[in-house]
Amino acid sequence: MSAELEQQIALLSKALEREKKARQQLEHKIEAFNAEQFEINKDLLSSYEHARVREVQLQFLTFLSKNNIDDKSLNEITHYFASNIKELFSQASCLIYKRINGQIQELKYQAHGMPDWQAIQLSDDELQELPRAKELNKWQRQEFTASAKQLAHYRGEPTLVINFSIKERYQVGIVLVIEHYCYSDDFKDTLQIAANQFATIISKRLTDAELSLNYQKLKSTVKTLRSTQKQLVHAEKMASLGTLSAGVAHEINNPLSYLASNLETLNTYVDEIETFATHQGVAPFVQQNSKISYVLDDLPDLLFACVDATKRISNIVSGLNSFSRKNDENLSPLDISYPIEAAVAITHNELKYKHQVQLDFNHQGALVSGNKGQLQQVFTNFLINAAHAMPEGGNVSISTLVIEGNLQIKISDQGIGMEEKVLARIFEPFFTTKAENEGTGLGLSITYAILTAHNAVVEVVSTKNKGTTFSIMMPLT
Amino acid sequence: MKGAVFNGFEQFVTERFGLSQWQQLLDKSNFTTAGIYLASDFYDDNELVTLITLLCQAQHIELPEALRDFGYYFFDILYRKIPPAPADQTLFDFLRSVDKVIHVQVKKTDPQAYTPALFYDSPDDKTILLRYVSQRKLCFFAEGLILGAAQTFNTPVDVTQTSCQHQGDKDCIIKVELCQQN
Ligand code: HEM
Repeated sequence: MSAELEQQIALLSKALEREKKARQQLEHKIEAFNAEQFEINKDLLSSYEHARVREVQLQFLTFLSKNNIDDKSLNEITHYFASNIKELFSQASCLIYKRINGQIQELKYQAHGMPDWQAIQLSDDELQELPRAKELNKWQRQEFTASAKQLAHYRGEPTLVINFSIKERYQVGIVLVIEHYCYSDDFKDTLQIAANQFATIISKRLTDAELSLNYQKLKSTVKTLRSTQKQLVHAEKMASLGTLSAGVAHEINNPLSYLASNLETLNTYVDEIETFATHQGVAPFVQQNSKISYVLDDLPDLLFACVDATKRISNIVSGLNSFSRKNDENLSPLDISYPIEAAVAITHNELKYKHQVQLDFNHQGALVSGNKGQLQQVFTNFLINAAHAMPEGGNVSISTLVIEGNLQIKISDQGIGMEEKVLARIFEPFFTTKAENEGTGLGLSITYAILTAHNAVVEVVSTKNKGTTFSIMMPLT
Repeated sequence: MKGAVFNGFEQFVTERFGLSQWQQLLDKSNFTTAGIYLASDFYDDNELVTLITLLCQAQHIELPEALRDFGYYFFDILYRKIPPAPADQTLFDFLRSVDKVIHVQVKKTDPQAYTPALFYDSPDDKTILLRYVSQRKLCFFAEGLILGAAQTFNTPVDVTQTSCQHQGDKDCIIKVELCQQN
């Protein structure tokens, strides 16, 4: 190459360099101009970017909004949350575990692209290798151990783990096995916001559940208390009525026995007066005196009525006595069918025209401790009452059944039934709905007293115009 | 693609393989632009791909290799354009700032510019993962730029891709690990 040519090339190269520099400077100027332009639009742009990020976050957070989770159980919410989080990643599988008192209680797995949760079993060693987050309610990166990798058909490197502590000893863990965790800070922030939201939801849900549980408990306690109180009041009332009855009976008994024996003497006196009045010498005088003859005429009837009335009083008194009798002497093992059948036989005459009695014994010879005579009285009473409740006739059924060491006896009629107010008082002595001279009002109270002495519990259910059922629970021997 | 990248490629080719190689590429490609690229203007991406492919054929090198080399070379040119980094900035700090600051700034300067989206993850202190998302699929070029940055920051690293769209994977994930002695 000639020297001239070389010089020429060198000059051209320098000229080229200059041209290049000039161009670069020019372009630099253009860029500076563009930058100015940008400054003008900057605020607009940054606020747009901001809005975009918020929009994405909102979209996800509305997943967790009230409407979506209100009617779901804690498990369902957890599944829902985990599935949605999983969907945010392009490829992920997910594992949920419940750890109660440090023990894994439930393990569910959702494979990539699958909507279903499968229960999986792991050996103790494998359980040990499950990743755990060290901090609560925070997503954490962790390495999956070899066996855990196998478990999740794991391909990529990272794992995301989060633990939520719902109660002190109750934890829910979510393990996301993801391809990678190269995401924007906004995305990662959104994940964390969702986790916070979820933590709030479940803790609130749990508080709600606890509160409502406590409320339910309280309600049922109040209910039990009320019914116990009612029973106590009733027992107390019956007891004091018993004492009162015993006193009254005792007080009446003495004058009553005078009355009875004096009436007997009076009867013989009257006989003598009658004999005297029909005597020949006396009879004409008596016949002349209309007043005396009227008295003599009326006297035996009056006396008879008096004796009858004393008998009734004496009946009431013995009724009162048997109502107030506390403990019973003559209890012996007994098949309940005997007193029931005896009562049916006794009432047969009264019931045979309009009523049918159906017996349905299912106690298979199970024995109770009882007094046959008294129990017979009890069932007689029930049968008579049932017949009275059905003046037009109908069925009375008596059935037996063994329930958990007790004999249940049910006596049902299809009669007129009773109102709540009546029902509350039927066992009280002298309480009656019958006409004044139709009964003493002691029948059911004596029944009650006898049954109580047999350690039996009586319950009544009655519906107006449908009928009444007495059910008796007696302990088996 | 911005003219500046073409300018950089021209510089890379002339410096490494000579002016005649560059002329040869222009002659073979026979584009209407005829090698006139204004830094602030935009040109068809395919032109750059064609030029690089032709270079690969001429020099018997693989395309990923060529892109990586070009990236490595080009980093200096880019880096000179931005204000000097704070003294305590590490390579990883810088890599993180590319998506958050530098490319943002690029787009501010020129709203028409198309830069890739980079998403980061640091599983541990010695590793940073970058998910490269771009229609241009220039992940190898990105690898080169990262290697260039490592050189500038005097921080030896291993750069690999754990998954790559060119391998049929869903994502391109570039793993940058500090070399053992660090
Ligand atoms: C290690 C650091 C960097 C990496 C990994 C990186 C990555 C990339 C890649 C891969 C592209 C090609 C476009 C695409 O793939 O879609 C690109 C374009 C670009 N980058 Fe970076 N870059 C880095 C640093 C920088 C720096 C320091 C600047 C300084 C200004 C810069 C400015 C640009 C510009 C101007 C473009 C072209 C935009 C266009 O053609 O519209 N980059 N970058």
